[in-house]
Order: sequence, then C-alpha cells, then structure tokens
Amino acid sequence: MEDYKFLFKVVLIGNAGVGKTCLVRRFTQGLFPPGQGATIGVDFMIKTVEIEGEKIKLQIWDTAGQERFRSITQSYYRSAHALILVYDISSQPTFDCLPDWLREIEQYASCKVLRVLVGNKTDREDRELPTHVGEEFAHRHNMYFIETSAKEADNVEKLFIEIAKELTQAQECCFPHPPLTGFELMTPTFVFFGRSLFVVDTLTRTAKLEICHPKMCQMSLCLQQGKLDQNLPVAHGGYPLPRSRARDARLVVVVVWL
Amino acid sequence: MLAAYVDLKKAFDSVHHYETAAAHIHRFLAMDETLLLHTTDSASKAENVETWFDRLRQAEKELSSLITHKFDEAVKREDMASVDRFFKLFPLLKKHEEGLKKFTTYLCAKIQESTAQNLASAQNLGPREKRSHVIWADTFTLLFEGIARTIEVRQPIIETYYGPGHLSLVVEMLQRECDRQAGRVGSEMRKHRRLDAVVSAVRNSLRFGGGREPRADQPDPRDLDTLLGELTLINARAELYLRFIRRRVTADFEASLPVAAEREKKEAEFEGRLSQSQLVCDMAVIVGDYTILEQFYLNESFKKALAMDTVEEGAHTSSIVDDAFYIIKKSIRRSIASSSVDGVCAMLNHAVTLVETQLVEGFRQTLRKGFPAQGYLDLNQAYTVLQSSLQSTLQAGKINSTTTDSDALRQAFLTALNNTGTSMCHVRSLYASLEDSINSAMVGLSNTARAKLDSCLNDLKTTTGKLAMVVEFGISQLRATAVKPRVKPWVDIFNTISHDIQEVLVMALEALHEEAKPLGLEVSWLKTKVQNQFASYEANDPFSQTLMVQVDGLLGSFTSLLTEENYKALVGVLVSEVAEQLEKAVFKSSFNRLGGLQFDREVRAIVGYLSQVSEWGVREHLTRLTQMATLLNLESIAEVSEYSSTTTWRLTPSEMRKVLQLRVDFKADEIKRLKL
Ligand SMILES: Nc1nc2c(ncn2[C@@H]2O[C@H](COP(=O)(O)OP(=O)(O)OP(=O)(O)O)[C@@H](O)[C@H]2O)c(=O)[nH]1
Ligand SMILES: [Mg+2]
Repeated sequence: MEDYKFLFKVVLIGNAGVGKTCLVRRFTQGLFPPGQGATIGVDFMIKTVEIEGEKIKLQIWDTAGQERFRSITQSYYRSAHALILVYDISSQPTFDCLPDWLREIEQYASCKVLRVLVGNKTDREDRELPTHVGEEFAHRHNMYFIETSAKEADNVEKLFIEIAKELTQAQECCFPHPPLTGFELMTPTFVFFGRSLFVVDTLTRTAKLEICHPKMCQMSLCLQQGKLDQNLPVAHGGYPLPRSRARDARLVVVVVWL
Repeated sequence: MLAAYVDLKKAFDSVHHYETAAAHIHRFLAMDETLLLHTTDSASKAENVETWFDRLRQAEKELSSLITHKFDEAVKREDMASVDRFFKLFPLLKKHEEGLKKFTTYLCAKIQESTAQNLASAQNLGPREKRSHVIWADTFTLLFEGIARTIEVRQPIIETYYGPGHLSLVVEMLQRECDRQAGRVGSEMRKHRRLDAVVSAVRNSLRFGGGREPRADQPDPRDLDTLLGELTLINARAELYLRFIRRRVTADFEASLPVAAEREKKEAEFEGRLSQSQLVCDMAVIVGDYTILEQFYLNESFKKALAMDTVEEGAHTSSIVDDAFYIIKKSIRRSIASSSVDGVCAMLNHAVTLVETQLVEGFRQTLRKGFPAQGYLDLNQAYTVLQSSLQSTLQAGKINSTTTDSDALRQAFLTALNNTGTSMCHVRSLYASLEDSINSAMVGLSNTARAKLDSCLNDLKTTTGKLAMVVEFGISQLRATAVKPRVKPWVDIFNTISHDIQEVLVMALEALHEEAKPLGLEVSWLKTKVQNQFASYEANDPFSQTLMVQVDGLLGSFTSLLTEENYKALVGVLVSEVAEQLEKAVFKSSFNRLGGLQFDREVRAIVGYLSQVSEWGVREHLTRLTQMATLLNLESIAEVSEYSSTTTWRLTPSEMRKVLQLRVDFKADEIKRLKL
C-alpha cells in the first residue's frame, strides 16, 4: 500500500493550446516539452507532494481543450477536488471563453470544488491581458488566481502546492477525527466565511458534537427547528450567520479556525 | 586481385542480366577503391583499374536507372512478379531507401484503389442489406485488414532482401496512406449516418439541461443503438490494427537494434508519430462523438425508466433499480467494446454521476419525507393496512384520504429504503463484472491507461458508501417514527411492576412460618416453598411476555416489506432501542434480592428471544443489559470482584455503582468502597 494522507483529484481545463499539458509536465517531470502536441482525450499523471510533513497524492487529469472531446473531459468535473481553469495571457480569445468554461463548471462540477484561474505564458512578450484583468475576473467569480509560465517554471510548483495545501486544510476540517458524532451529516454543505466554517445540514435530533482538531479553537452549535435556538452561542463575534443558509437548515455548526 | 578484375569485367558485360549485374555491382560497391589502387603495383595497371572503376560507376548508374525504370514499368503493368523482382535489386545497389519508398508507394496505390472500391460498394448498399447497419465499420475494417495483410505478406521479402530494421519506414508510409483513406471513409460515414447533425442535436439537448419536454430535433435513444454499436466497432477495429503495427515494428526494432537505449529512442519516436497520426486523432474524435451519444443514451433511457417506475405486487423494490443498472451496464459494456480507454473512463464517470445525482439523491429525497407514524394501537390492523397500501392507493376514493396519503408515504418510504439497499448490491456486482470484462477485453494496456481505468472503476465502487449513508439515514428515520414511539409504552410497563418484591416475600414468609412451625419443617423445605411462590409470580410476569409478543408483532409487520438486509438493520435498531429504553427504566426502579433475581430472569428471556431474531453484532447491544442484571442479581456486594475477574464490563465504574445502588439491600458506603 502506498502511504499518503489524502488523495486529491485536480482537473485542468481551458482552451486548446493555452499550455495545460506543459504546466502538468513542468510540475510532474520538471521539463518543458518541445513541440507538445494537442492532448487527445484525457491524460493522467500522479505526483505526491508533502504538506506539513504529510504525504498528499495529487491525481492530475489533463484534459483536451478541443470542443470535440468535451463529453469525455466533462465527465471528470464532478469528482474533481480542484479545477484549474487556464487561459493564455497573450491570447484575448482564450480569456473571452472563460465565461463559457465557468458555465460548464456550474453545470457539471460539485459546488464544493476549489476553483483556480491560471494565466499562463507570462514569459511571452506579447501580453494581451494585464494581470489585474485576470485578478478581477477571478475575484468576481470567487476563484483563486495565479499567473504562471510553464516555459520558465514560474509559479508552477506554487500553483499545485497551494492547491494541495488548500485542499488538505478543507479536508481536515470537513472530516475531523473523530468525526462529528451523534448524528449523520447527510448532505452537509460547507461554507467558508473568512476563517470560520459553516456546516449546514438538515438534522432531526439534538446533536452532540465532538470535534477534536488542534486547529479548532471555538465551536458552537445551533440547533434550529424553524428558528435558531437563542440559548446557544451563535457563531463567534464578527461573522453573522448567513441568513439564506440558515433558513433551510436545522443545524448550523460553526467552527472557528486558529 | 585478378579475380576482382574478372568480376568487374563480367559485371559490366552482363549488364542486361539484372540480378547478376546487380550482384556484381554490389560486390564492386563493397570493395575499397583506394585499397585496390594502392595494391596495384604497376602504373599502367593502376591506370587500367581506374578506367575500370569509371566504367563500373557508369554501369552502376545505368543499371540503377534501368532497374528503376523496369520497376515503374512493372507497376504500370501490374506485373506483381516483376515488381517483386526489381524491388529485390535496389539493396544490391545500396538504394535501400529508394527501393522501399517506391515499393511502399506502389502498395499505397493498391490500398487507395481497394478503398475506393469498398467505399463505392458501401455507398451503394441498400438499407435493407444484411450488413448495412455496420457497413462503415466494415469498410474501415477492410482498410485496416488490407494494410495489416500487406505488412504481413511483404515483411518476409523486405527482411530477406533489405535486412531487419526497415519496417518502420514502410509502416509509416503505409500509415500516412491509412490516415488519408480512413479520413475518406470517416467523412463518408459521417455524411451517410448524419453523425454531425445527430451529435449537435444531442449536445444541445445535454447542454440545456435536458428540459422537461424533449426538443423537437432530439433523437430517440433507441434509435441510437445501431449507430452506437457501429461507432464502437470502428474504434475497436482501429485499436486492433494499431496494436498490430506497434507489435510488428517493435519486433523489427528488437531484431535490428541490439543497444537498448537506441532501440527505446527509436520506439519512442515511432510511438510519438503514431499517436499523433491523423487516424488516431480521427478515432479520438469518433470516440468523443460516441461518448456524447452514449451519455445521452444513458440519461434518456434512465429518464424513461424513471417515468415508468412501478412496484410490482410482492416486490420489495421498484422497477427503477433493476432498470437503471441494466441501462448502466449496457452503456459501459458497449464502451468497453470500443476498446477506448477514454471512452470507458468517461462512461464510468457518467454512470457514477447518474447513480449519485439520480439514485442516491432521489432515494434520499423520498426518505427525507419520513415514515409517518401509524395511529393504530392494534398492530395487526396496522399491518394489514400497510400490506394493502398498494391496493388502497388504487382505490383511493374509498378510503379516508389522509390515511391513504400516509399509507402512500409509508409505501414510498419503504420502497426507497429497499431500492437504496438493493442498489448497493447492484453496484457491487456491476463493479465485479465490469472489472472482469475490462481485464479480458482490454489487454496490453499502458500503465497510465490502467491507472485511469482503475481510478474511474474505483469511483464507481465508492458510490456504495453514499448509498450506505442513505440506508442508514432511512433506518434512523424508521427508528424515530416506527420503533421508538412503539417501544416506549411496552417498556413503561416495566416501571409499573415492583422489583422490590418486599410484599411478596413477606407474605410468603408469613404463610410459611404459620405452616412450618407446628410441623417442625427444615429450612430447605422453606426454600422450595418460596421458590414456588416466586415461580408463580414469574409465570404471570406481565412485562417480558408482553414485550416479546409486541416485538414479534412489530417485526412481523415488516418482514415481508423489507429486503433481508434492511430487515436486519431494523432488527438491530429495534434491539438497541429496547435495550436503551429498558436501561433507562431500570435506573428508575429499585430492586431487592428477589427483584434482582426476577429482573435477571426477565432479561434472560428477552435476550434469549432477541438473540434468536437477530445476528451476532446485534447482541452487543444487549450485553450492557445482561451485565446490569448480573449486578442486580448478586447475593452480596463481595461477589462483584469475583465477576470482575472473568468479565469485561461494558458498564463504566460509575454506572456499575449506580446500578448497585438500585439494590435496596446494598449499603451505600460499601458500594462506594468497591474497587472497580
Ligand atoms: N511561451 C510559452 N509557451 C508555452 C507555455 N506553455 C505552453 N506553451 C506552448 O503552448 C503550446 C500549447 O501547449 P500545450 O501544453 O500543448 O497546450 P494544452 O492546453 O495542453 O492544449 P490542448 O491539449 O490542445 O488542450 C505549445 O506549443 C507550448 O510550447 C509557456 O508557459 N510559455
Ligand atoms: Mg494538452
């Protein structure tokens, strides 16, 4: 058995020719392949990285940008932990397609997926998209943003390591050990607000919550049957409970991270 | 030396006998000119040799153009024997590459010709002819088989006259022809089958979220069956063909390149070109089109099955479960038949999406509505109503509508619960059977391909976890509304009966005392008498008897409604509910020695009964209760330590103290002093 703490699926998408395969090859093999041909279907690579002394296995799915393979590539969105959406900073058309890609993500990916926008080919002289344009787009659509160059190995390592870090942290707080006991979380929705995590779920009975994780400093639990139970501390100072979330939920767990 | 001259002269003289001439030229070409010149002693001779060389070079030139000309003529005349004859001569003139190129060009022309014929007959084939539904796959097959046969037939002559290591050149040239011809067949196929129109209609239908009413141009999934079959066949044939040429070329490299590094480099180069060839790209596009159609087929067939979802009388599950897995299996199996790893992976992914978003989510939604508690006190009546809920929904008018509503809800709930459990079994067997077919149908996979398949297969397997969570949720719903409220009144009886059987004992002793005294009877007689009294008390024991009958009734009402697995889960829940509530009830009572004995008997009876109806794992729930009974049935506190040496207590020390305190005759400070 290989030993690793978590396995994450990372899927790269974006127009043909923006450099997805080059990014993956740079990260997994440390090289910039000359004359890289268009990807056909889906490529697959694995790399294990170390995050805070723990081995994290990244399963990287490099998809073809060509429209004709969409049914094949889309089938991977749903199980992805992270989606890397790549455009080419020297090509306005690849940027203009981003809204289409986002629509696809909306339709096929899980709502919990970590979404990262990448502007690739920063080494090129003929830049058409200033950094702030990508940044603003990412911000508007609630995505992480980074600019890279697969050719010059700029920010490539950082891109994947940050993703691994982010996913590890999310995983650890979603499934603390021992897990939440006393009730079943059926379709928990995890919502991050700043450093606090809201777990929203429908639940029928009073729950005893045991979360043991060194990073959790405060945790409150509100049982809500129609309305919030006022006797329980609601969240912690500063972050009000998001109304729309609370309305249809019976249980709201708020975890604050150190 | 003399021999050399003679040979040279002969070669020149016999220039019209091509084989011999070529053989002589070959020998000449193998000679070292300067060496020959140096070894000639006299100047005149050397001069002589030089003229010979000139004449020979001239002869070589002439011969080579003659052979080329003859070869071209033979090609024109389609004189196979002469083509072969002159092809063999090029290597003698050290014109390997030229010979191979000319020869392969000739072979390519033949392929072009036969493909043109095959295309024409495919186009003219009437729609009712036997193989018209796979005619394009057949046409592709003819192309691939033709090339494979060409290689098969020509390889020996190439190897014999040109030596090993030349196959890749021939194969690559043939492959370029194959690319062109496959492109022609492909575009005819697209036209003929209206593939692009079908694909774009399906793409639109998938993109717009498969609205309620199907779009006008949306094809009927059943009409896609044939097309899907043909597309998979095409790719499977191409894969077979590619595997063949890979094998042949690799073997040729192995025979000609002994240095591993060099060989691997050549192989990698060949593979690089092959994997970027037009054929491979075209096939990938066909697989892409196939996948989108198959995805549509899967989703639409599922929608249809869902619309016709019914529960047959006496069945635990509804038709959707079997139907859904039948459809999924069919789609994935078809993708396996295509031999395309990407196609199989995509279909596995689409299947997982279907299971998780449709089945898991659908069942969960139904279970969320809950299992309405029954308002009946009489179990048998409730049972009958539950049984006949199917009929009652059919005769909805006759029965009070609210009852019918909750009957329907109950029915829907139980069906969903059974559907979920059965889906888990289906996923498991689907996984096993797909793994088998992949292993047998897709051989010689690269490590990457294998890893891709394994990952996607594994995703399919892990859907059982999601289903298991839904089952658990459903069972917990059942516990909350069908088990807990029922068990409560049964256990409440426990508290209405005194386990501080003081009065009983006092009465018995008083009576005995009266009788015994005048007769001077023994203590042992006294004891028997007490026991008899006690036995009669037990015989009328209203608690454990009732509890067992009630539990039996409740379980009985579910046996025929739940699948075996779900029934077991219900039993588990029932047992733990009884155990839990009874524990609480015990803490509300008090016991004396006799009461403890009575309780022990009751627990034994109940545990005995529940063990009979349940499985090993479930009995764990009862251990605490048994241990409580043991503590309450002790002669003295001192016995606790005796038991401790042989028992693993499931009760915490503080719980044990609390239990012991229930015995009215045990002293509090003694209990406190106990070392636990
Ligand atoms: N200058 C520069 N060129 C790059 C960079 N990354 C990729 N390229 C070039 O962009 C072209 C396309 O790169 P790929 O990695 O094949 O693009 P892709 O996104 O995988 O394309 P598809 O597989 O067709 O979807 C290649 O010619 C690369 O050499 C980069 O960082 N800088
Ligand atoms: Mg690529």
